[in-house]
This record gives sequence, structure tokens and C-alpha cells, in this order.
Amino acid sequence: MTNILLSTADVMSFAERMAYGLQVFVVGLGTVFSVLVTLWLALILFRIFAYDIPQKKAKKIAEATLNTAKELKEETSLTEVEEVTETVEDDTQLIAVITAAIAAYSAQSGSTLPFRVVSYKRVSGANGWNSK
Amino acid sequence: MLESILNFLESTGIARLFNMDSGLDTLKTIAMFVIAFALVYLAIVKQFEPLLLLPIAIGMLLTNLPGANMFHLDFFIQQDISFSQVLHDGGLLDILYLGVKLGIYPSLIFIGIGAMTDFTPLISNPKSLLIGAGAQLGVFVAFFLALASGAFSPQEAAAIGIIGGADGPTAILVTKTLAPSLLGAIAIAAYSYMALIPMIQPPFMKLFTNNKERRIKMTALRPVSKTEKIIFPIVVMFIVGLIVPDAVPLIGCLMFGNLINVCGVTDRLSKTAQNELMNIVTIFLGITVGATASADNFLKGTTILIIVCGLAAFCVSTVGGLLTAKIMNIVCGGNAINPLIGSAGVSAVPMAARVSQKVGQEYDPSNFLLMHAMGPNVAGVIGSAVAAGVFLSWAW
Repeated sequence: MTNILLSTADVMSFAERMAYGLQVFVVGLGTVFSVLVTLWLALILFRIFAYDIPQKKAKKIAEATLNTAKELKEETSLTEVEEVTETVEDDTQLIAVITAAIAAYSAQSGSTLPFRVVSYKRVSGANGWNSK
Repeated sequence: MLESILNFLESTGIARLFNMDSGLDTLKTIAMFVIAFALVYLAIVKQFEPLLLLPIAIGMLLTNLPGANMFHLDFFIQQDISFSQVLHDGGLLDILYLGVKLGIYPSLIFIGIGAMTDFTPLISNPKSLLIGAGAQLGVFVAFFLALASGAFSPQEAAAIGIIGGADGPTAILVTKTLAPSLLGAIAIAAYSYMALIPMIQPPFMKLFTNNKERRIKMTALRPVSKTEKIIFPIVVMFIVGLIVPDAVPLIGCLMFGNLINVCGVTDRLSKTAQNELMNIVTIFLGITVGATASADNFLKGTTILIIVCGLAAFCVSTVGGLLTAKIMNIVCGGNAINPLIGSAGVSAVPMAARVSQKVGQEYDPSNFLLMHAMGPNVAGVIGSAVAAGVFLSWAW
């Protein structure tokens, strides 16, 4: 760069100034566009490598985790059904035992009133009815 | 005794003001005081870019006070600066001006700007870069006009053209290198127009868009990963540096500032760059740039031409951004890009983006364009720095 500041009217004709100005205009604006278009392309690559691919990987991992969770859930619900059935069976047995115990106690005390066990509640501490 | 008093009276600023070489010089100095007070008024009362306009105005006042000798533009216009002369004979502002002359302040300001700028909207919507490029049209049109006028050298025309980039530090860096004598006028024009963006842009935004376009609602931006945010500044620095090395003092610092902000491990550096560093450099930059506006240097016919060409640069840049966004919208199917975000392509972060948002909401209050406009806005910062790099590397 020469850094010599001369008014263009002193050294260039109007046509020369126009031609020179046009040259700088085209090259300058062209350079700005090419640099920013290059950055645009770089950002598209960014999106692919730093966003889309990690997103897909994350999605796959999420799907796999979801599938595993679903399978586990299905297995768990089967187990739960079995456990619930067992519990119901257990309760029936327990109610039968309680009914028999009440009937035996009623017979002993001379009562003949019919009864039905609707609910029961375990009393904390010593089990009065089966402590002996 | 009387002689001492007379000597003292002669040394006062008032005596020097009225004992100048000609009455015209006195009038010019008084006119500069009026301009400086007007800028102080605009900065404090109207709050037009007060952080910069106030130091500029005070610098202008200090440099024009007769006898204060705080600044000597002659030291810096010559191609080779005599540093010993600056240190021995210079005033406070001469010494501070070395930061402008050596291109230190604009680059440091860019570190702060980088630390404060969120590039997420640009990374999320990279098409915005095209709008940022289109909005540099005014830079080259103003260059062309200034050159065609015959009043300026090509270097001076380039410095005037860069006003269209709507970026103060960039304009200062280009001007201090290519046309130091115009620094005061160009810096004042650049910052004044940036402050006037809410008044300059809306008429063009309404003129170059139709009612339907102004109501376009853009789809939400995708989220951006931290990895992208960290890689982005490094890649931009690398690509721009390889293509336009003269833009590196600006782009390199801008991207460095952004990197220390997004990487997450240098919070202290980021905070310093955004606050203390930025504020200190802004004071030095403003006051020294204002100091270049001495009466002899500022009150010339060419200053009016600079102001006119600067305004043309701003307007054409706005139109360039709008038209680019309009074309992109047509190419994308006619309902994807609201052309109002095009005007934000003239850097002036974030003022230009706010104007897009405001005008957009005038036509549809439920339309939120701010984040979409931030993309072209920050792209404009990169674009104007690249345009500056082109001018600085041109073999004049």
C-alpha cells in the first residue's frame, strides 16, 4: 500500500474513476459473499457433524433404552399379576382361617348368629387370636 | 507585576481564542464548541449511543480548547510516526491516540463485542450469512459514490464506504490506516447513524416489503449444541483468516472473545472482556477519536460530503439486506423468511435487530422476529469486518 492520498480528480479522469470503482465494487462485494457463503457451507457441515449425527445417536440410544424399558415393564407386569394372584390366594386362605376361628369361638360362647368376614386388620403387638 | 498579569491574561484560552491567525479560525473554534455541546446534549438528553458519543464529544471539546495542546493530529498523519516526538511533545490524548493509530483499541473492543455476542441464531440458521453479505452493498456503493465525486482519494473513499458497515470499531480501524485525517468525521458519522437506526431504517423496511411479507411468521430456531458453539469461533477465525488475512485483527479478536464466553471454563476472562476491558477501551477510543475533530480538520466541505456519503451507505446497506432477504424468501417458497429481518444485516448489534422486531410487531403483535433478526445482525458484524479486510488488503 502506498498510502499516498491524492484526490482522484487530480490523477484520474471520470471514466477511469468509474472503472476503478467498479473493479473494487465487484471484487470487494464478491469477496464478502464468497467468505460468507464458505462460512454458510461450514455451518451446514457443523449441523451434520455436531448436531444431526449426535442427535441420531442420541435418538437411537433413547429408542434402545425405551425398548428395554418396555420389555422390562412387560416382564414386571407379568410378575405383578402373579404376585397379586398369590396375594389374593393368601388372603382367601387367611380369611378362611379367620372365619373358622370366629366360628369356633362363637360355638364355644353359644352364639348361633350367622356372620361373614368382610375385612380384617392385624393388630400390632401381640396377636390376640393366635397368641396361644 | 502588571507584566506578569498581562502575560497570564495572554496565556488564557479566551485571549488565545480571540488572537488567532484570522477571525475565521475563531469562528471555526466556536462552531466546534457548539457541535461538541450538541453531541453532549444528544448523548445525555436524547441518549444517542451515549457510551461513545459522550467521550467523542468531550474529546472534541478538549482538542479545540485554545492552548490546551492535548492533541496534535500532525504527529500521526505522516506515514512514519515519530514515537519519541509523541512521548516528548505530545499531550495526554496524543499518547492515548497511539492505541487508535496502532489499531489496538478497535481489536480490544472486538474482544468485548465477541464476548457479549450470542452467535446461536446464526449457527441455527446459517442462511442468515447471505443477508449479512447483502447488507454490505452500501459499503461498496458509498465507496463508489465517494470516488465518483472526485473529492477523495481511493483510500479516503474506502474509509467513507465502511460507514455503511454500521460498525464503529471497524470504521475506525479502516480510517486510521487509510485516511487518518478523516477519522473524526467518519467516526462521528458512523456512530451518529448507528444511533439513528430506529429513524433511518423503518421507512426503507416499509418501502421494500409488502403487507403479506411483513406478517410472515418464521419457524422456531433449532437448538444449538455446546460443541457447535465452541467450534464456530475457531472455524470462522480460520476460514476468514485464510481468505482475508487483513480482517484477522477484527475477526480474530471477535471470535476469541466469543470463545472465552462459550467454552465455559474462562468465565472470569469473559466477564472482564465484557465489562472492565470494554469500558476502559471505550473511554480511550471515544475521547481520542473525538480529539481528531479539530476545527481545521473537521470544518471542511469534505465533512459534509462524508456525512452525505455515510448516510447513503447506511440506506443502501439497509436496502441491500432487505432485498437479499426478500429474494431468499421467494426462493424458499414465499413464506419462510420475513424480509424485515434483512435490515438487521447492517451490523449495529442489537439495535438493528430490535428495529426488525418492532416493525414486525406493528403488523402482527404475535410475531416475534428478534431472534431471527439476530442471525443477520451478527452475520453483518462478520461481513463488515471482511469488507474492511478487503479495503485494508487492496493494493491502492
